[in-house]
Amino acid sequence: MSLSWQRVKSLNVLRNWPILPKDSVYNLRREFSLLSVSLPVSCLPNVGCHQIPTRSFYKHKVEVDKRIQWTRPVKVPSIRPVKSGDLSGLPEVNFDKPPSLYEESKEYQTASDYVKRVVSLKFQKTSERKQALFDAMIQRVKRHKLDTKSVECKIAKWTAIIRNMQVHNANFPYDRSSRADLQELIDLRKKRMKLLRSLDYKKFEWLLEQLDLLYKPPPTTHERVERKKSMRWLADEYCENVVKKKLDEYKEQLNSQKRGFLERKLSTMKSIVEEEKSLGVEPSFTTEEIIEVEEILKKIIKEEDEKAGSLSVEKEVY
Amino acid sequence: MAAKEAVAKGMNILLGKCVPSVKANASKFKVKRLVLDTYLNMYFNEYEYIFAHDPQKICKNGDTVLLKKLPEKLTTLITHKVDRIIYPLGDITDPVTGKKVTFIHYREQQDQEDEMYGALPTRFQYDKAPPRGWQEDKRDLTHRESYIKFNEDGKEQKYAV
Repeated sequence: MSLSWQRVKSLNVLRNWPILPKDSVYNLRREFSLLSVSLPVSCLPNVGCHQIPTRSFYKHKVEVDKRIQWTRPVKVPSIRPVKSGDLSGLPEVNFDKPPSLYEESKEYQTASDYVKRVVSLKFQKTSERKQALFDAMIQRVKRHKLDTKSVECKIAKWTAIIRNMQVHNANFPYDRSSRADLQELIDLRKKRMKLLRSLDYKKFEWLLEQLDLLYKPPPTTHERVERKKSMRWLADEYCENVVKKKLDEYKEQLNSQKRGFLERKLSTMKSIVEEEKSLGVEPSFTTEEIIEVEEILKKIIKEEDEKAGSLSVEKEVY
Repeated sequence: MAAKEAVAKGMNILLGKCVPSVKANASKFKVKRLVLDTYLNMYFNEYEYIFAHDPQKICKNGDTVLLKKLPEKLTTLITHKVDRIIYPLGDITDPVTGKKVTFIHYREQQDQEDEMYGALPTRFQYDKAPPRGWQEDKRDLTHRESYIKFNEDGKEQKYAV
């Protein structure tokens, strides 16, 4: 007769067998667990169960959070002026003036005020006004009248275009094609600035000043921003600060003892010299040595007075 | 390791390129040396960083400098001293004629060209320009190493990218 395992289980024959299947072993454990036995707490043996660690993670975390705080920096797009290094916007242009070509013509100079007003940039096309802004930017660095191809002129032109596009991008953030163009131009300008720096440093610095740009070198290594790594760096920084603070305190403590020590030194030196003179022995200190100590003492007293003076001034202010 | 081996062999003079460092009284240099790979029978670049005594901080980032070995080590790090700057970055003199050069042009030639067109007062003049470093820490931050910003602590992080 053959029986299936289900049938055997249903017969309740195997309940007290020494070798039991896995499930029934768990059931047994549950039945005879320590919780079910009524024992005083002090008698409970710490055997078989997981030992509680001495320093819990939570406790450790609380201690760390008191000292070090980490917040993930918000990602800034590289087309923003903060990242691209543009410290100011486009130059200011008077829109009552006509486009640059009109100004030199005789007809414009002899025309009436009404005509001049109609021809002015205010009533011109947007592209004319934009060109006037770009021209004003290039005018800052031009070598000669016909100069358009020199390095500084090109960089000035790109800078003007970039700043104009940045304004556009702030108003229309979903204009993706212009965004891509802007990114390309910024990269191109950065590359040219890098080259100019290595070829002509003086001009590079002058150009930064003229166009109001900020130049940051690229980082040598690329480190991903991670919580654990940043926490480690911050912990290192914190430890350095603690060491520095303690050292400074110790230095101040030692410096404060200097004055008393030197005063004692002076008095003992003088007394020794006097005693030796009275006994007719050659003095062990020369007058020069005593004067040297006196001068150091004077210097320290002066410094202390200055410090006290500055502190009293601060007290008056607050 | 190549540069240190060369020093160990008794080489007194090294040519290094200045790199940013915050150490006072010393500058950091990157020294390149070609090392022979005997298996491939080819030379490969190897780089070494060396600290040299420079109390006045005459070396700026990117300068090519001649370094001389000190008879005794000043500290565990500082083993050399700065002898002289050979090529200041972006301010090259032509060794044959002794004239100043930018890229492939003489500066004189550029000025002459400008004058032919009618030079404007807005142009850059080399003789009126101040020496290098007048925009340092203001608009030009190449004297320090930059890093990727990893923490927002409310303060202004000047050298973070």
